[in-house]
Amino acid sequence: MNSYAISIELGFSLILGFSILWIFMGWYLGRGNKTTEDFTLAGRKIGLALGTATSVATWVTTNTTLVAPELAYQMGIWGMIGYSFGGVGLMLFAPLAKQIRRILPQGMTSGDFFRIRFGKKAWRLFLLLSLVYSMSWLVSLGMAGGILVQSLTGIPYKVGLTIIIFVCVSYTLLGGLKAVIGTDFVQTVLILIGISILGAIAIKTVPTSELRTSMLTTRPQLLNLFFPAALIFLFNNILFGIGEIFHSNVWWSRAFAFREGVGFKAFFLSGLLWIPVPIVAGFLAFIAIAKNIPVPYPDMVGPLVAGEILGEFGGILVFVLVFSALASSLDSLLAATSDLITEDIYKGHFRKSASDQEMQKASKTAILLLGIAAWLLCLPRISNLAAVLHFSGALVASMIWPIVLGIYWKKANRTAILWAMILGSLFGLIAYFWIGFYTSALIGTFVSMLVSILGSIYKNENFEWKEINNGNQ
Amino acid sequence: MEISEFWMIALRFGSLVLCGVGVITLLTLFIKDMIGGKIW
Repeated sequence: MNSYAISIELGFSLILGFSILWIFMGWYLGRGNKTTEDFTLAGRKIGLALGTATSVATWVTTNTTLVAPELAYQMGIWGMIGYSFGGVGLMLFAPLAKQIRRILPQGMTSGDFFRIRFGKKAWRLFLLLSLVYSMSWLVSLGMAGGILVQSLTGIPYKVGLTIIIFVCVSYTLLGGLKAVIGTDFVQTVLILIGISILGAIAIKTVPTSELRTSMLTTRPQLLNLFFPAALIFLFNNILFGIGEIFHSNVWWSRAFAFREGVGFKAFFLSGLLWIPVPIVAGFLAFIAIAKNIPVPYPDMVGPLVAGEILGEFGGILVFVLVFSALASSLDSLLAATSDLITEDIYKGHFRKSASDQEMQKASKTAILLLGIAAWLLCLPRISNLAAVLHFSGALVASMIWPIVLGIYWKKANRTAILWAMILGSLFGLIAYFWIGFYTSALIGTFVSMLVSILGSIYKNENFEWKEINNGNQ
Repeated sequence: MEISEFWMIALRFGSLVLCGVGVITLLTLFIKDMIGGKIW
């Protein structure tokens, strides 16, 4: 008798069904793409519904559905709420998205901003930090997919991982950003419906009063409102989320791709819709404690509980939910990172006069190579998903202040910004290794803020975005 | 100090209701954009 929530045959059938659906949608939506702008920015005409859905779907990753319960299991109530505060980043990006469209109406990537505002040195450092972050996110996503498929169905890790990456690369190649955003809408609806059903059944199975009483007996510290490590984690996670969103081309490409006037509403609304998802997922972990379910791997506590309380149906639900969450983030990351590689590295550094056709070819090649690189890096399975995710926390947090100041403060000095990014990353990484993963973004942001503000006060610039828009970009 | 039962219930139910509201909001916006020809 097998010990998996769903049979291997059913697992393969689900993967096959969704793979066909996503690839068909990718092909169908990509038929009208003619220019590079169509392929990479969906013609800059995304409406509010798709704009909101793609932001929710991209931000609900396998990390949300697997790491939120893991953090609830380890850090209790604040671990779960702390994770949900990642949605604040989306809401804070809303005014920035509006401003980004205004200052860079023809912008293609977040690299354009760094190059124009802070010069080539800061631009190259940004590319390095951003690519490290993108790869660590890609790897954590790919690994989570492989682990999930294996633990739910028994399909070997490497097989599940290969199928997932192959499918995401295929439909992103076929349809570009239109495919990514179109599939994101369906995936968001599936995620929200799936998590709602799971949460509702969980409440019926283990009522909150019973849950609380059991936890007070076995692990009361998880309900403690003054659990110090969890409180530090809460603030760290807010900053980590802000750093991830503010700098990443995943979000900038959406700010460029959304129809005029949509950016602010789409990002703000998506933040509101995102916040409850990790909380619903996090409560599943408490059931493991209340029901004394053995948890060999903390990052699998969510699926484990779903399988335990709902049997095969729970397994299918989690499978659909996490497969959707995974695909919606993996495709976005592939598309946005390939834009950075083609626009900022290929065109920006090597082929300044590249034709539109050449850029389309380069973009597709970059997607393919990124997929292969992610697959190779995912093959040796690393044990702790949260560790992979938080490693890049310091790097992204060091870019929060440079971006905010670069957009809103004309006196922000490029040399100060460059050092803010270097020292913020460095001190954040030191904190990661010496204190704990839950402090790296906090320290990185603080150091970067001090250096960028004090440095700019000491020697300031007088930068005008208007001049840039009247001239060239 | 531990979280009270009231807040735990509020958190659990509230987040679940918001997920449901999210689905309805997205579908409503989609229909609205479709009628206005503003999907893409």
